[in-house]
Amino acid sequence: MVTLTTSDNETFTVDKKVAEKSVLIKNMLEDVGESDQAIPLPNVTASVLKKVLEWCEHHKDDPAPPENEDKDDTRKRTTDISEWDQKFIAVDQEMLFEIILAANYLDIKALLDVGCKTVANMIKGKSPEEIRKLFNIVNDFTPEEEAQIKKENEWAEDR
Amino acid sequence: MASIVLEGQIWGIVLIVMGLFLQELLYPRLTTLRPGHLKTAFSWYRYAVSPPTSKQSIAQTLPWDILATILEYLDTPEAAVASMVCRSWLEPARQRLYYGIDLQPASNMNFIRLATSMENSPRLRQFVRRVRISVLGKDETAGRLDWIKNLPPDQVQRLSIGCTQYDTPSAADVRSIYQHPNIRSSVQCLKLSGRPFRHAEVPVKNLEFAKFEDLEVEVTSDDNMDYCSSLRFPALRKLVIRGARIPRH
Repeated sequence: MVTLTTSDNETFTVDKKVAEKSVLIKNMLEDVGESDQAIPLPNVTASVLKKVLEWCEHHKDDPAPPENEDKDDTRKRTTDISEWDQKFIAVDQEMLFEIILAANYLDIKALLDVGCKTVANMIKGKSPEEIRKLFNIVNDFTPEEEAQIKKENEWAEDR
Repeated sequence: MASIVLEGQIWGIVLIVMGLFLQELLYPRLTTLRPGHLKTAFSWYRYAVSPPTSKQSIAQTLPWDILATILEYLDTPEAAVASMVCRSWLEPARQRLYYGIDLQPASNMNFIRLATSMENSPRLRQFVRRVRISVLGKDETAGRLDWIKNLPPDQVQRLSIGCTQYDTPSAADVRSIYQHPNIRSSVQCLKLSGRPFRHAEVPVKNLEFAKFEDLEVEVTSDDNMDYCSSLRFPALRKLVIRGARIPRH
């Protein structure tokens, strides 16, 4: 068993196999060796870690993902989120981004992908203004900059 | 309300003075006042006048890596839309669009638009590692592939050019690109569909493609194969020749 401490000082005790879905924790455990000491996770709150561990528990027997996949040859598809993952990630926007940030920090690539795919699906088919509205983003371009970027990337627009 | 604003202005002026003083302290060599000094000091002033009130959106402050992963799941037109959302999304979106430029099949209009962007915005060139493009071979596209030659040296790893009409001006364009020293010294993988050696009347002797590992070309029996017999590929590991006749060379 492994003990984890969150930024808001809650402790979670989980199966080693579950905790090791996180490459960060796996490396820490390898460095430290067998130890009863709690692993501090200063970048993760309890509510987020609870969600992340729920995902790790469900996926603890998944095979390790292949390394060095060539990302350029085939564009990834966004539709291939498993049903369980879709239900898991159906959370409010703040929690979605918190999970993504935690997965990035903890180095859980498969969970990061689920989160990023979900965000990508939310972006698809929307205009820049609709995306800003959806994510509460402030448009910090000047109108001139906006026009210039639009022109610059015009070749890539729908064809 | 007015008193708060006034207070902010007073604080702002105090901060400008403090900022200038601090800069003098930190960079004593800069004895003269430069516009940069004022700009930094002024940003303190603006902060004092209008401190950020609401919590900034998480989506606007995502780290580059995460934005890059999200962008991987978008297709090219969607990534172009994402680049216009806000400043923090712009550079990762540019990387997504220009790291592996994929314009195939290209309409003449988009082909020309891409060429114009690459010619007018030199900063886009730093992103390019892979190019997959098709040339239709109309007169209006002649010379509009030259931006590939102007990419920073030793940068492009993969180049795939599809060409339908090799007896048009674009055939010469395509040849001039893969013969260019920048391309020959950096490209590892070259795919030329259409008939890249057709009408290549002038054989170029002793042309070396230093890093070519993977070459795929399409030829037919009336192509001038003497032309490619003078090319050297010291690093070649994989060669695919498509066409009616396999040359003896």
